Amino acid sequence: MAWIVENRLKPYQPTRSEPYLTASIKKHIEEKYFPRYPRKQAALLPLFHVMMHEYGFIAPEAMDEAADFLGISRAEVQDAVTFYEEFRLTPAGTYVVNVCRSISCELCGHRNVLQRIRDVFGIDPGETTDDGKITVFEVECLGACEQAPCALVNEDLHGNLKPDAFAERLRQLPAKPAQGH
Amino acid sequence: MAFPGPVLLKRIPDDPAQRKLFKFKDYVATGGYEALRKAMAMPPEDIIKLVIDSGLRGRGGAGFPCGTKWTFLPKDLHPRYLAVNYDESEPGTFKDRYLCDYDPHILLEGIAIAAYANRIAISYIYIRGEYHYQAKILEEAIQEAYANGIFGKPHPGTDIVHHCYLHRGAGAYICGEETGLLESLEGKRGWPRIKPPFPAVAGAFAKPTIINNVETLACLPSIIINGAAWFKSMGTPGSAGPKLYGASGHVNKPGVYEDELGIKMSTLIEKYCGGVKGKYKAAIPGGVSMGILGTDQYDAELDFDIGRKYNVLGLGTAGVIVMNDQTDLVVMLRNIVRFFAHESCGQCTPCREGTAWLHKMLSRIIAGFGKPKDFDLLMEVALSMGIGPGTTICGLADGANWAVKTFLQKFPEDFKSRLKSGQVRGVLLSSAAGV
Amino acid sequence: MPTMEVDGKKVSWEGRKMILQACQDAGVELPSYCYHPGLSIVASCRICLVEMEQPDPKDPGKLVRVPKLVPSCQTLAADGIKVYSTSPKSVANQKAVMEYLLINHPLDCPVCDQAGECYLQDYSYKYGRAESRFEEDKDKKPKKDIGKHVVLYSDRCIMCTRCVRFTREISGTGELAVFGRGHREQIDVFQGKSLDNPLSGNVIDICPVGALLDKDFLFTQRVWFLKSTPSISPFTSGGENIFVDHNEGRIYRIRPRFNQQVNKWWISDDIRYGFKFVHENRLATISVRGAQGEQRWSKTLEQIVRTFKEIVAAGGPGSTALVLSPFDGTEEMFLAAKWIREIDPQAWLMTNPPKVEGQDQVFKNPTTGVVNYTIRAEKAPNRKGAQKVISYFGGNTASIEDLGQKVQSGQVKAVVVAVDPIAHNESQLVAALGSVPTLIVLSAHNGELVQKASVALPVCTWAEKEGVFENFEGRIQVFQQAIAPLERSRPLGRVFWRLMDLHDTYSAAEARQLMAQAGLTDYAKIALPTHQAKVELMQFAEL
Repeated sequence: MAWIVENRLKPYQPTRSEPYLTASIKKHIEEKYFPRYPRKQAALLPLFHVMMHEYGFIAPEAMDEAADFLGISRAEVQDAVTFYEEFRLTPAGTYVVNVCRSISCELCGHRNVLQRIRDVFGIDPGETTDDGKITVFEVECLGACEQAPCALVNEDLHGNLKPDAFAERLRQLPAKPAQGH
Repeated sequence: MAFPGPVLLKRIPDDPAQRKLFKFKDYVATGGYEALRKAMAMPPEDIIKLVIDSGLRGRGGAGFPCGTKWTFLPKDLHPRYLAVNYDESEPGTFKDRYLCDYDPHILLEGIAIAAYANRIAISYIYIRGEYHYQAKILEEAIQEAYANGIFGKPHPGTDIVHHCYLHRGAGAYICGEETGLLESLEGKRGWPRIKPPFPAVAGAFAKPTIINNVETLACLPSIIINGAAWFKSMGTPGSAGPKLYGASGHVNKPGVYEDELGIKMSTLIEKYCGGVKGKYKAAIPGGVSMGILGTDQYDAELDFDIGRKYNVLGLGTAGVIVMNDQTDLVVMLRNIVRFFAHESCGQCTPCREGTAWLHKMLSRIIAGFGKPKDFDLLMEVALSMGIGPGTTICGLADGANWAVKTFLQKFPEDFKSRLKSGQVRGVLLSSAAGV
Repeated sequence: MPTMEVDGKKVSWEGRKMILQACQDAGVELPSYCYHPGLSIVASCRICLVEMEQPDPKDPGKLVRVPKLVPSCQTLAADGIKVYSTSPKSVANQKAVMEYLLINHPLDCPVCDQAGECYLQDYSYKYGRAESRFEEDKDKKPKKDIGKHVVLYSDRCIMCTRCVRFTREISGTGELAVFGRGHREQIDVFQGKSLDNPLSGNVIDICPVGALLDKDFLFTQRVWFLKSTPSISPFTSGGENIFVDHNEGRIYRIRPRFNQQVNKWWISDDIRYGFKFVHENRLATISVRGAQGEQRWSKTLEQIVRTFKEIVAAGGPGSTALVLSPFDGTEEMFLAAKWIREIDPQAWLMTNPPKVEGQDQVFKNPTTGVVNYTIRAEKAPNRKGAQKVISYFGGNTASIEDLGQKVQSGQVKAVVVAVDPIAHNESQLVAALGSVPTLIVLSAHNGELVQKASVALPVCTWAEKEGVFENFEGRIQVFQQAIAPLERSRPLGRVFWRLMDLHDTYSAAEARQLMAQAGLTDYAKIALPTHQAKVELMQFAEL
C-alpha cells in the first residue's frame, strides 16, 4: 500500500448535522466525571463510553467536539480513542458478538463456534450480516475462562457456548435490543 | 502449612445454585466491615507494619511485597491516590471477576483499609471495559458504601476525605501494567511510562500513587482481624497466605478455587477440578506470560518460587491452564504469541516488532512452510526481545519471550516435527491476518 | 568535575546529565533514535541500552555490575561509573534492535531523500547485522500528505515519536499523534487538522529516517552533493543560526544550526522556505540611463564618483543622501557611509525601516512554560547594525518621508539607495525618490525603483557574501558566503571599497579591521562559527 497517498488536508466527511456531544451528554460528564479528576482530559474514557453506548461508533465529529470539551487537541483525542479495542471508528450491526479467541477458549473449541456462525449467518470475524443485525469480532481473553468458549453479545456475557445452541440464540435475538445497547 | 478453609471465598459456596450477590447488609451480617472498624482504631503505621509482617505479596502477577510497596510513598506529600488494578486481562485469569461477581464489598473494605493506612485521598478502581455486568454491580456496591459512610468521609484524625470512583477501561491488556493503567486513568493512550520516576513518587496526575491488585486488597480484612501470624501459617515461608487459583482448559470442573499458596498443581487439578479431561500433557501455571510447565512437572508447587524451581517466569496470577495430550502445542503457542502481538502497545522496538515477527513465523510454520532453522530463529528472536531484564519498558516482552522459550525448551519435538526441510513458500500468506 | 569511563574513555561533564547527553557533549558516540536534547525523554527505541558498573554503596572502592541493561538516555551519569557499549550483551541488543527496525522497513534507499543522512543507514553499518533473517511479508503503510510543507511516508517510520513530542512540547499545537496500537500503529494527524504551525518544518529535521520529508526538497538533490555553509538567517531580527545547503551555485535547502542562546535547534518555516528570492528575478546587468549596451563596473563607478563630486561642489554639503538596507552586513553599511561622508561631509544617512508584522510570536511548552522559540515581528536582520553605523557617523539623518520632501524641494540632488531583497515598501521609496535627478540604486532584483534609477548596480544577496548581522539583542554574528555571486553582481561592500579606491581585494574581515581601527572595537575580533559537522572517513569493509 506504500503507493497510497492519503490526503489529510481536506476536511472529514460529516456524518450528521446535529452534534454528537449533545448538551445532555456534556451535562452528564460535567456533573458526574469532571469533579472526580484533577484534569478534564481524564474524563476521556468515560465520555467515549457514553458515545459508544449512544451511537455505537465514534465519528470524526465526535472526536472533534470532544477535543474542545476536554481541552486537548483533536489528534490527542484520536490518539487515545484508537488505542482501545472497544472504541470503533466505523458503525457495526445491532448486535456486536465478540467471540473470545484466547488460549482457554481456543483449547475449548472457539473455532467451532465461529465456524457455525459462518455457516448460519455467512459472516467471518469483522463482517456484518446483510440485514445489519449481527457483526462478529474476535477478541482477546474476556476473563471468563471457566466458561470457555465464551462471547460477549453487546454487553451480555454468554459462556459455555455450544455452537448450534449459540447460533440459534443469535438467530432468535429481536431486531431491536431490549433497551439502549 | 495449613489451610483453615475459605478466606476470600467464604461467601461463595461450592454449589453454584446457592451462590448469590452479597449486598451491603448481607455483607455486614456475615462479619463485613468489622476489620475496617478495627483498623480505624489502630494508628496507620501499625497497619502498614502488620501487612509487612504478614508477608502479603502482590496477587496481580509480580508478587511484590505489598506492605513494602506502601512504604515507598513519600511522607508529607499529598494528595495521594490508590489505583485498584481490576484490569484482569491476562488470558487464563478470572479470579478477581469471580470474587467480585458475588462479594464486591470484600474489595471495597480492603480499599478502605488501605486508604486509611496510607491516607489516600481518592481511590480509582480501574475495571476493564469488557466487564460490563461487573462494573454495574461494583458501581451499586460503591453507592451502598457511600450511603453507609464507608467512603466520602475524612480518615479519622485527618481532614483528608476519602473518595472511591470507578473508572472503566476500554479493552487494552497493557492497561493492566501499572504505569499503563495510570496513563489510561489520565485519559491518554495506555503507553507504560519509564521508571524512574516510580508511581509511588509521581503516579496518577504526577502525585504519589500506589497500585494494588483486587485480590491483594481483598486479603486485607482477614489480616486485620486474624493477624500476621495467622496469615503466615498458610502457604510457605516465601509465599504466605491463601490464594485464589483459576483453573481452565482441559479440566473437568474449571473455576476458581481457594487454597493456601504452595499446593501442588496436581492437588489443585485432582482435588478441586475433578482431574484432567484426558491425559495431562502440559499446563501454564499463571497466565500465559509465565511460560509452560512440562509433562514431567505435573507436581509443581504453586508458589512464588515456582519460577526458580521449574523454569517458568513465576507464579503470575495462578490462573492455571491445562492442556491434554490431544493439544497441538504449536497452535497454542501461536495463539499466545498472537495475543502479545495484538496487545503490544507499540512503544518500544523489540516488543512491537518482535511479537509480530514471532506471530508471522508461527503462522507460516502452521501453514506447513516451516524450515529446520526456524526452531533456532524462534528461540533467538524470543531471547533477543529480552536480552536481560530491562530491555523493554514493561514486562510484556518478557512474558512473550518466556512463553516462546519454555514451549521450545520443554516440547522441542512438537515443533521440530513441523519443520520439514526443502519446503518452499509458494503461496503469499497474509500471515498477519487476524492480529 | 565528575568523571565516568565509557568504553575505556574518560568522560567528564558538569551539572545533572544523562549518560547519553554527557557522551554527546564530549564527542563520544552512543547510538540513539528517540532521544533528542530539545525534547522529553521517552527511552522507547531501546538501542541506547548499555551495560554499567557502579560503585557499590556498601563498599565505595568496589564496582558492582548492574544486572540489567540500562538505557543511557534515561540513566543519570554519576562519578565513578563505567559504561560498556561494546560488551557482548550491549552489542547483541544493538544488533537485535537494528534487525527489528529493519524487518518492516521498505528497501527505499535508492529513492529516499534521507539517504546519506539517515540514522538507520549509519547505525546499520556500525551496529547492525550484515544480513536480515526475516522472510515473512512486511507490514505496509500508506504515504500521507499531512501538511503544507511535510509529507509522511509511514512505512519508513520507526515510531521514535520525536515528531509527536515536538508538536506537543515545542510548538504546543499537538497536531501529530500516534493512531492505533502495536505493530500497526502509525503517526498521523486528525483528518482536516493538518500540520499547520509556523514551526512545522522542524519535524523534518528531527525525523531520523526518511519518513517525514520536505515537499520542497523532495527528490531535488542527493545530500552527499550538498555543501553546508554556516550562516545567519536574513529574514528576521532574531539572528537564527542556519546552515545553507548548496551545490554548484544553487541553494537547495536551509537547516537550523544549533545555538543554545539564540534559536536552539529550531527555525521557523519562513526562514526555512524563504530563500527562493536568491534565484528569482535577479538583476544581472548594470544599467545607466541614457547609455546603450553593456556597461563596465570600473567605468560606471568612476562616473559615479565624478558626478557626486560635481553635485556637492555645486549644491554644497547636504545635497546627497544614502539609504541603507537593514539586510546588508554592518561592514558594508560602514563602508557606504564612510564613502559618502568623504565626498559630502553632511550627507543625509538613514535606514529603510524594516517591516514589522504584528507581535513577536512566542512558542512555549504548554506544561512547563519554558519558551522554546520566538518568531520576531521585525522582518530584517540588521537594523541594529545600521543604527550603529549611523550613530557612529552622526551628523545629518532623516526619515524616508523627510528625504522625500528634501528631494521635492531640490535640496537633495543625489541619492544612493541599497534596496531590500525582500521589498515591502517599494511604492513608498518610489514616491519619495522617484524624481531624484541622480538616483543610484544598488539592488539584487529587478523592480520599480530600478526602473527609475539613473544607475542601477546589481549586488549580491546575503548568501553570496560574507558579513555580520546584529540581532535584536545586540548579538553580532558572522554569516559566511555559501554560493558564488551571480555573474556580474558584486557584494555591496566591494562596490564601496572600490569607490573609495582602496586596494582591489575586498574582504569582510578587512572591512571589520577598518571599523575596529575607526573606533568600533566590537568588530575587532569576531569568532567565525565553528562548524560542528563531523567529517566521516570512509571505512573499507574487511574482505
